Amino acid sequence: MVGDSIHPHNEILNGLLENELKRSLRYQHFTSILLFEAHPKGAIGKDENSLDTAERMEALIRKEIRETDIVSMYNGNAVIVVLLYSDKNIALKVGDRLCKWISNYLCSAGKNSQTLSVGGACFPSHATDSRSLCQKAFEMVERAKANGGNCVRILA
Amino acid sequence: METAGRGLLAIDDRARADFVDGSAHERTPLIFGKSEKMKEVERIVSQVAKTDITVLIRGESGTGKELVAREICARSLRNDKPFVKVNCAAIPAGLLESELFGYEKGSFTGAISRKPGKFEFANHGTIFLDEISELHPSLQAKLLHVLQDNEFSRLGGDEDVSVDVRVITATNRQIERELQNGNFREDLYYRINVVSIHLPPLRERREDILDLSEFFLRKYSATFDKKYSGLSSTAINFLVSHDWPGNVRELENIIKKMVVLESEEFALREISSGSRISVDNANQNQVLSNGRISLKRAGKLAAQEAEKHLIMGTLVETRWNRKKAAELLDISYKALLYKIKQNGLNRKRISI
Repeated sequence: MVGDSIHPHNEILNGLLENELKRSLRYQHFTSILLFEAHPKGAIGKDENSLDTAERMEALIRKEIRETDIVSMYNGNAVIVVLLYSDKNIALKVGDRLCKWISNYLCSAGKNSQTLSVGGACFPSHATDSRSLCQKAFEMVERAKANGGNCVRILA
Repeated sequence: METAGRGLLAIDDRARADFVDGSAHERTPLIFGKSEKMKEVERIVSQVAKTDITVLIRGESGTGKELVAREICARSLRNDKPFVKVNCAAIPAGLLESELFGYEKGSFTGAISRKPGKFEFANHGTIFLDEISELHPSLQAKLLHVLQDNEFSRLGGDEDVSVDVRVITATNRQIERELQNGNFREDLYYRINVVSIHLPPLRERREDILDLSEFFLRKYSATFDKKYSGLSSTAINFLVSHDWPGNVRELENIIKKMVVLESEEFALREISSGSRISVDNANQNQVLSNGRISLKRAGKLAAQEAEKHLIMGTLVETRWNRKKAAELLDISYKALLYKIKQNGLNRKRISI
């Protein structure tokens, strides 16, 4: 998943993220990312309707975050949020709030109900380049999935 | 070279790209020279680059200490990770701790949010601490802790932050003298001085001057889109015989000027005036390198001596009444006090 820069979503996001990390280094502030991935309830795997779900998630997240933060589709089935000036504690709070907010929509869709897994990583605490940062966030998503979903995981 | 923020990253990205695509051998080396001393530097750089060993780079200002640090980083296994440069002399001592180690929210007035330090940004990469001898003693202890245990706490924080950073330091001062004066911790000195690289000044490697000149000529001709045929024999003689107190940085600026102005004359005139400045500085010791005193200096010394005698005579005459002496000499009281101090006069000496 990570490093699949062929996907147009990833190309754009990587460029934006790289710029934001340079800015963070220059002005010495934290930047965190949150990776949201939804999967059918009870079956953790690729969802056939994942693109629709991701688009819905993106629209929901966009309403709930600051205008300065960046939201983008990632790999076609996930959504990534870049939280500027946010350390891991803030990212955890935001992630938790967004997770509850989106879960309400995804879980209330009857037989199409979904489980949401969220992973986060913070620059420079967890990684110092965009690729490693996305990798860490992806690892955290996997941990959230292993934990049954509908939760946020960020490295201490 | 680019020195801050964005420029710094641009260089890193370039170096990173060179290595990531496996074409490391095609990368233009940041240091070069055919002199024996530079070959020795090159050899040490190759040997230490692949390890995580702490390196201390010494050399006069303008010899390229930062470039050597970048070269070590580019050849190391951390070349795709950040290279963070901190000039310890450029940041006030009170701010340096928060710059290096970051701070927690509320740790002091104005600390409105938690801030990461340079060490966190350099995590898994390399941090280059320039002018390390200027580091305040209180910070030296904290730096020693990071070097030994790979962890530190942010200013006002109680949480330990673990980092994996390679430290490269540089200084243009005799750090051993700072040790003797008690300005630099001995334990930190031994910690940073695992491998020491001494960069020779340009006057000690004159054989590299022409190569460097050619390099800068090509570089700036391309940058400023100017056509420059090459150096004349006069210019070559001038460049090779000059002492270069500003080292490679001075040479680079002279060549840049030659390219931009498309004339050797202006640039060489600047070297000549620079030499005059050196001579004037040498006059502070009153004697030129050939053992003679210049006419200008001789006149100045004679005037100073005459002035001293007159002031001494007047002070004796007025029995060290400085107000009266100032009136007799037709200068202000303040000016007389300054002259007395400048000439090192005192009552005891005059009465003798």
